[in-house]
Amino acid sequence: MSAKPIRYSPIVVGVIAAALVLVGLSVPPWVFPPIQSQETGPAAIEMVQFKDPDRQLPYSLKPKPLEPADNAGSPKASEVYKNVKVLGNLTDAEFTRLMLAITEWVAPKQGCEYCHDLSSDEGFASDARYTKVVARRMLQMVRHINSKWPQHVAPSGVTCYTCHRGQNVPPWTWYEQNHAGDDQFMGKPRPWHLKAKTIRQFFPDVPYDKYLMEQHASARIQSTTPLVGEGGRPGVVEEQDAEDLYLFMMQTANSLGVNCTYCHNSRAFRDWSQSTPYRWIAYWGIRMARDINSNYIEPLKTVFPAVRKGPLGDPAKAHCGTCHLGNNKPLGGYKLLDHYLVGLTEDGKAPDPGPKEAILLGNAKPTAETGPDQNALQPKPVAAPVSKDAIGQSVAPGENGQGTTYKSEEKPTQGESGTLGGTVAPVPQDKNTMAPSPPPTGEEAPQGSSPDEMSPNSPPAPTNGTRGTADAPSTGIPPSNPLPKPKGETGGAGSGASTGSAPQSIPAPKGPAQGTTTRYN
Amino acid sequence: MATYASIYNRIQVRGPFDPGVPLKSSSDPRIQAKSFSYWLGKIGDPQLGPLYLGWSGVASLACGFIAIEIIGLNMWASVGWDPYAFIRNLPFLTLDPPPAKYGLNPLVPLGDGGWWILAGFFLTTSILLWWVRSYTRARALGLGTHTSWAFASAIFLYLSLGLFRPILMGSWSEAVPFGIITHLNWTASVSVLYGNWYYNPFHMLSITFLYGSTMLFAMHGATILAVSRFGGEREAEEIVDRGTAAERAALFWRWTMGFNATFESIHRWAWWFAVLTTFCGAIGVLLTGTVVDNWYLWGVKHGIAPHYPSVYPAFPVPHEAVGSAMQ
Repeated sequence: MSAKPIRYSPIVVGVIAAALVLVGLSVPPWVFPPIQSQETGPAAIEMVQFKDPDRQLPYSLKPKPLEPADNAGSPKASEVYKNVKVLGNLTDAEFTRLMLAITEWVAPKQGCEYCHDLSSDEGFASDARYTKVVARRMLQMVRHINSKWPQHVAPSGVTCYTCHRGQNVPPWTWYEQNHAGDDQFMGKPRPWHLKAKTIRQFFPDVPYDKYLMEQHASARIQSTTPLVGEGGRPGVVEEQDAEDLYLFMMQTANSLGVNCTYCHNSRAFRDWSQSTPYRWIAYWGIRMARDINSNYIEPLKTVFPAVRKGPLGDPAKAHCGTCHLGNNKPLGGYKLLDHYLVGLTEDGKAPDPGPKEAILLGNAKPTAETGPDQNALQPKPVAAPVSKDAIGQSVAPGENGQGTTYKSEEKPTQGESGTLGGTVAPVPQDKNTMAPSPPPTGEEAPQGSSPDEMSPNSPPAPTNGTRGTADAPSTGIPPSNPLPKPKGETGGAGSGASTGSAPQSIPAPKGPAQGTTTRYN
Repeated sequence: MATYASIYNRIQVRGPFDPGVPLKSSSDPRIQAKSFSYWLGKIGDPQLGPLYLGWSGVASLACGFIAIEIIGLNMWASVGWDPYAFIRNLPFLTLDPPPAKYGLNPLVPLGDGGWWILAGFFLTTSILLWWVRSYTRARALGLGTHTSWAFASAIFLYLSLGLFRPILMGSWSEAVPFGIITHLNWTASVSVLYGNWYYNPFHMLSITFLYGSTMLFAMHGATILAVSRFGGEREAEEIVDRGTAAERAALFWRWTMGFNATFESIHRWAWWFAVLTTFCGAIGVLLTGTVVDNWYLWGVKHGIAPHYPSVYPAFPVPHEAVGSAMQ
């Protein structure tokens, strides 16, 4: 019996294959199950968010609020210090507490001297350091956000820490980038983020300035009609615009740690009637970012030293991730602002959660209907059961569980004087201080289009005391959520506007095709 | 024949060197490389050569080389000629078509998309010459030209994306960039820009034929391997002279799915599925933006986009957000 020669090649191949499997298992940063998933849309269309419960987001440390200040007998800050332009009406105790908090939030390593040039004769009053000038403007910005943008920041509001997270410069920002020009060897340069962990983080910042400044491009690139020419489009939307918008939206998704379907039904991105209520919140968030970038950050261009500026000489600006840092709610909705309401809001009040609650709970009512029976008594919209989970995560319902009524306002919320409860009394802002930026108006206004802005074909909004919520659909789009119809109609049968929803009729099943036979041998 | 029962190839076909059929008089001489390769034999025929290049092959390779050079050097230039950055960033580097402001002007500054036009020209020329080569070589060997026409279908899709549709749209900027990630971004954004390409019926057909092709290929390959122990690898003979291999293969499919293709017709099935994959895709590309502006709404109009129940509370749509593109 002769021994067979041993074949080595299968052994070698096996060892190599095992080594490759080991490398593949150990080297990449695998995310191990369980992965939490939450479906937010109609059944079986995969509008779902995934979350790894073990994942640690960057900069997620939550600072403890400082002890409440003892305001009894404390003089005003403006009486104790010179050159206090924004917070002069705070008590000295509250003022000092806020300054300590800001130091902890923004310059924990450098301390007071990061902004205050204590070596100068003026001491704390000196404006010699650019950081002090910037900090003053940023303080005004925070107060402006908390008081004028409740649609986006309620109920937790923002503090310095929301963006800064203990860093001198907020960790996630963007600069303007060069666009394509004839002088370049290649097309537009794309500074990809090469150290990214996910594919979305690779995408470049180039298009952000198209969408995050008040002079912005339109994001309405999708046609409202099936065929070319029906909608009277004067020209083609450029492919490049589509890619820019895609990159910008990927920024939003990456910043919030969510995917497209958090806000959109991805089969019809433009259709509000299929979008989730979070799109409404994000919509105002984008406008808020434009407001602060254009009115607060960009004007500081002359103040910042070159080392803080981008390649085109602009200061680091905000996008969604500047506050969110990978969380759909910054710091998980941690209510740090509630402890610093006096200094960090214009009116001493936390941002009004009413508008958001009304949106998420379904109490907000469209002011105009474009369907045929818009004057008929409409049944009250009922929040669908599936959305309850989502609501619970975002905004706590009102105390009676019914939510709050969302009343429309023509102007941004104005501050009122009143008692705040707690340790400190709100102090109205001194009229002589640097005025905050004017409230956004026109199309940028956080709330409110007037009835005359509606479609000419649409009747005026009902005025029977239920004066409406915010904006009316104005170009014939159906109400965002088709109201139940008495007869078994499918939803979305608005006048000429069923583009966004149901097919007009569903053909009856015809059964197997006739006349086809299969021959068997 | 038992060795065919394995799922991997254990046969090394070795014989005397086969010089091939005599050339026609119009042909160029062949490159007389003659050798056998054990490792080639693992995946195919171990015989190397003789090769036929001819004028079309030489010109095609030269044009293809120029195109790859233009693309590669542009990418390298974009990282400041840093070799490390070039390799590390390669998936993200790109050579873009000219921006929309140039329309269809062929005389675009090189740095602003002119290189893209040049690369596209040379790549297209190279591909067309390779098609010529596939046609003339098939003819020289006395074959049918099925391969050439299948290749032509793929070329039609390539030209629809990079040439025909940009011409119909009136702008080079509609074309696909040369780049790994950037052409994927182009795909994603063009789908979103025109509603949603999943509702494009030609996209649906193309996917059907693509997946169908893979399934047919798997079924056919498995069938032939399975009946090789009965001589089934002599497919071409069994087409007209059905032996037990063809009978058993046919019976197998009749028993399992009630119908069988024949040893001949399965190849026609596969050829048409492959050809229609790219052909339908090209039709879908050519209709997008030229005829159909929003495929999702087209699907709604024609009843192929189902209506899902609303599960969200009604909320007012912000004024500015309502309205259509470019109004």
